[in-house]
Amino acid sequence: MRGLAVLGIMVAGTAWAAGAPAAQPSMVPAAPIDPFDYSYCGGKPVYPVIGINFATACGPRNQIGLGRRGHLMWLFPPQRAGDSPVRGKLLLPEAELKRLSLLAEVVQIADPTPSAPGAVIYNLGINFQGRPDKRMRTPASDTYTPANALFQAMLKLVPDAPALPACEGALRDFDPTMHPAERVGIPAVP
Amino acid sequence: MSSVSTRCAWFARGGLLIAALVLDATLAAPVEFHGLRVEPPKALRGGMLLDQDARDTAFPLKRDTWQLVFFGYTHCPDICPMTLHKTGLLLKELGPESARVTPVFISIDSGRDNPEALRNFIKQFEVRAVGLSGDPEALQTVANEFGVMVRRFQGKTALAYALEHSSFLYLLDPQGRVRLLYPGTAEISGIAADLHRLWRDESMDGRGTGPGRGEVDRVGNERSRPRREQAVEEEAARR
Repeated sequence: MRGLAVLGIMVAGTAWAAGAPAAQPSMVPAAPIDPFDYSYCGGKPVYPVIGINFATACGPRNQIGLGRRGHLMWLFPPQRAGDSPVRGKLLLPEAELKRLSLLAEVVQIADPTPSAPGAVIYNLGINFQGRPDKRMRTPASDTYTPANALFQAMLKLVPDAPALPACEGALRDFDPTMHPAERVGIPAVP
Repeated sequence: MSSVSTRCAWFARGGLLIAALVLDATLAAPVEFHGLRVEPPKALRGGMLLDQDARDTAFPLKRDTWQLVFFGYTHCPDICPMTLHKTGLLLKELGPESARVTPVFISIDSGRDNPEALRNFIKQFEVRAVGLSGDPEALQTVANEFGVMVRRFQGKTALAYALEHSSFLYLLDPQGRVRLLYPGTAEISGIAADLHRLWRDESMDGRGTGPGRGEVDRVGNERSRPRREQAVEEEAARR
């Protein structure tokens, strides 16, 4: 829930974050549901809201989000004590937005892969307007899954480096939105 | 109205161009398919619908074919006719192998689309497609499994309404699992190439999709053994 609250803050101002109801049926064109709805004409395209929290077992929580109007946002905690967090916001080009939307669409319908231990674990949340949210937690890896492809695609678009310190010990299945100190208590997976 | 149609056509053409660029960029080396892979393949619970001949039909179809599924409605002004036309072109492109693919058009308009309306609509395009309709609950169940979004825009009379809906194409394997997803503007040649690749991979695995090729039906019963397995057993018997 905390992760979603953060995602809500990241995408503040969108219809989803504000809990706005769906547009009333009318023949007057309203905002389109998704950018691939070509039966809709006119207006500004909107994109799925995507929020990702990710961390290593001993590292801080990093966040990346895509807002409804196509802004990529990120917030990475400082790598060293005394440094400032790195944050940024970027309006993505249309082609990138469509690519991310397509990947999100596949994540939306794919069966979730079960959570497992990993060096980097991410929580992923997707909201297409008018559809149930999709949420999942899974380790990051090079193996193709729609969620991994989406995570990597978004991470690649961020110009800054996330804080992902290497951690000692066995891999753990942890919630990246937990405070690193809280994760210490999670039993390691042999 | 004509300006709206022109605008729609302009958007559709723009969409085609953008989608082609996006697909080129998205589906480069790591994914290797022109469509986006659903991994692991998604098994569908499906439901009972009516085909265009008003027969009760289980969806996904219990046939030994791949299924190219898309959602729409017969009053749809642009994307649905375009997609149906496109599936016809795909079958032509596949030639004799087109028998291994069944296009499935699922109507999301239970208010106006009945089997007869679907039959007439499909007939216009001379496509060997299965048209499915049903009651709102059954359609909603099926649409939800694909995450299909439908929104209604009401006109002046009860039957004058338009529906906004997702326009993706879903490729299902003979076991009824979703394998690949395409935007409605995907290129036919890409879909055909993906199908050929899937069939090639399948034959290398010894898992064909036609009768007698070792396929497993949707309840998991083996209808005939995979060729590789048969060969191993025959070799063991010879020894």
